[in-house]
Amino acid sequence: MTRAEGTIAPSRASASPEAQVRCPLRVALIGNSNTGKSTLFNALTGLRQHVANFPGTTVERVEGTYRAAGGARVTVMDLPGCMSLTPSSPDEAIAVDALQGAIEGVARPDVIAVVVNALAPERGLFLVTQVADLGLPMVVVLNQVDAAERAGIRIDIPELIHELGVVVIPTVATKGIGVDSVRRSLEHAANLTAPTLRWHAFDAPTVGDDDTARRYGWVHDLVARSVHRPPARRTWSHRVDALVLHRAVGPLIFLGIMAVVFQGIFTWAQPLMDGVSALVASAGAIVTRALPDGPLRSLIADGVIAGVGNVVVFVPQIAMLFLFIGLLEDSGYMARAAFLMDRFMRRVGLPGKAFIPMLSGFACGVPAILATRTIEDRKDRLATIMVLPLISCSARLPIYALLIAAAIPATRVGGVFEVRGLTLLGLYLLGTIAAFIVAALFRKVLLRAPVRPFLIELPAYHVPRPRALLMSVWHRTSEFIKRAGTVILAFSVVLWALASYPRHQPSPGDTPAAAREQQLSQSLLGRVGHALEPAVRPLGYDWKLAISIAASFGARETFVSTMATLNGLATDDDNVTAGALADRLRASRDARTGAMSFTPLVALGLMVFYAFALMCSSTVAVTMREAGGGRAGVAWAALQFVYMLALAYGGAWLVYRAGLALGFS
Amino acid sequence: MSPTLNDCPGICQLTACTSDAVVVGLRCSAADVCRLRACGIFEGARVRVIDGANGVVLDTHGVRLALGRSLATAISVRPHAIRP
Repeated sequence: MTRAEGTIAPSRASASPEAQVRCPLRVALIGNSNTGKSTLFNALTGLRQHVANFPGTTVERVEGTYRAAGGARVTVMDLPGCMSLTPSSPDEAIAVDALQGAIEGVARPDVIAVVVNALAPERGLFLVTQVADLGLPMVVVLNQVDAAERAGIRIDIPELIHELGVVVIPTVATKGIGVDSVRRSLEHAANLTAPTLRWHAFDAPTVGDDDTARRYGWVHDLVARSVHRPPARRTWSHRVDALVLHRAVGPLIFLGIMAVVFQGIFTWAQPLMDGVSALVASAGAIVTRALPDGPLRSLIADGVIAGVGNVVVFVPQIAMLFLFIGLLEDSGYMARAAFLMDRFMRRVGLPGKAFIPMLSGFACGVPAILATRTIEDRKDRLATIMVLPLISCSARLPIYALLIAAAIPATRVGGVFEVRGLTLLGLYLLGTIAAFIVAALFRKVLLRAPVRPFLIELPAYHVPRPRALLMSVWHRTSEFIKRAGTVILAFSVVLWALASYPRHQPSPGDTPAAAREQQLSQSLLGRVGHALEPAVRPLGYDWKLAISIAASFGARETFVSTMATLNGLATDDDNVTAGALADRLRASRDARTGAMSFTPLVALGLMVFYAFALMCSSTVAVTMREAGGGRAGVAWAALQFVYMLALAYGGAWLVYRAGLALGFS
Repeated sequence: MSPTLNDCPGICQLTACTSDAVVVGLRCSAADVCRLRACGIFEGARVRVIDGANGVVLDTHGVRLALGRSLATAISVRPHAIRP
């Protein structure tokens, strides 16, 4: 539905009532951050939403539709949060362009709905003065009026309507209150002319930027007449801030929260992971029992279930990570954490706001890179993007878990700390510390400039709403599941075919293990592995690991599924679990020398390799787009891939060679 | 030694302010001035400093903002009331 289709008549105001009812309508929803804009969008459109990107950008274009009472189709566009219409970040620039109809393929809206926070209406009304200048019909949605009421704030809506000359609708979007009125007002507003506000005539009391001062002066005058606040008092949000932002207590609270997050991810998700693991094992066993021995059984058991199952097992852990990130964002703590981290991050050349994408990076590099859009300065943003993939994402977790289970003994240090847990912690720290060091290097060499000063709004604390939180966790986790069901499934099937053909006839008297080894060695995949082996020999790897590494260049988590396929896990083993694969790896031997091929030192080197290597085509693609697109984007993405590969190879080589020199095997 | 902003009678940097104040000047890059104004920190705006330990936390126009120390140093204010 675009203007080009001729469905939106410029002379809407003069159209007949029947034509008005049937005429489709485009509405743009805009507002400051933390005003409940997206909640209102959800309430207006329900589940009839779709997400795409604005053409030529990676800024999400979220649109939804609903049928108006008269039958007209209304399309609502949820624009990114804006402080003003003078954009200072890529997100804001897109929102402003969309309002002005300056984006090719995105029609200019017929009506703009500005969402204003009833608790603090000044900044929202400032935005209203700017939106009014665009010359489009407008509706003001005064959201969170229940919270304002609880805070003792009384708002004279008729006075606001009188001064603004537009409809003002009080709403509580979280409860759906006022949403029907918003719908009706949007339809009526489309037939009205744009408001003319009188801020130009306001006598600004100060020098400096007359425009901003006049607008705010006018807004203050309006608020003084229409909003009645009780005497200022300390809210519970202020009391919490006194602790959370305290010079000594604040960092301790931060460390405590981070400890709970990581404890939750690695401990609390375990029972669910065990459950999924058991389901995968049962599926493998059922297929093995139900189908006769042959290519079909091998494809399903060895290819699909062994490949996809070993990755799907980690879904609970990933969901747990997204749950914590959602909790920190929705509660309002994330902005405080960014502020606390600013002083430290600045020392390595990153802005405090980079903390938010970095924390998201523990879940997935792609949304983390997209989250850098809130960083205003280009060089700050590029430095953050370039190091984000060094943060250990959830796709590395299956690899770490497999390698640790295969190589690190399940013992305790001092009877308290699990060695395996400490190894995992060490890998996460390794990636994070490397990210800080590399960021400092980038700022000293390629991206030389002072870090832009920190400025962020600290939203009032909220108790996160379970439904919205769970929806966000589902939305993010389903992306991972979709990936397992598409990319990893396809990879698993292709790998199975490459590992199974051409068929090798085992000699009489060969054990199943020897027959499997020979089949693999002479398959197409085996030949590729043998060809690649010289490149990874200095790291202590054999041809099987060469295949697994090569196969994981597109998506690192396929390393585990490749290893499962290569080791024919489901062929003669009903228990397709990471533990079974680890046992198989521990027992693997070099066919020529008979020596152990998967030693603890090799595993440690591999862990370092995967901690540093960028093996994710999605991350490469999103870096290309977010680093500016075109040649510049390709150059930055190529540099990122190459430096991380060099770091990975160098790190793994150093670990292996130093280990050998020290007498380890 | 040349006089600093804090030597001017009645005017100080935001980092040195512990009370309610009125912004009298922004001495930073044009881009940062633009960001500050969009947030409601402009010449003549009233601010209430909440905390100055790590950068500055302040309330203005009903919103709480956190500013890094370097940005807070670039804002000159005239304190107009010392809260008890």
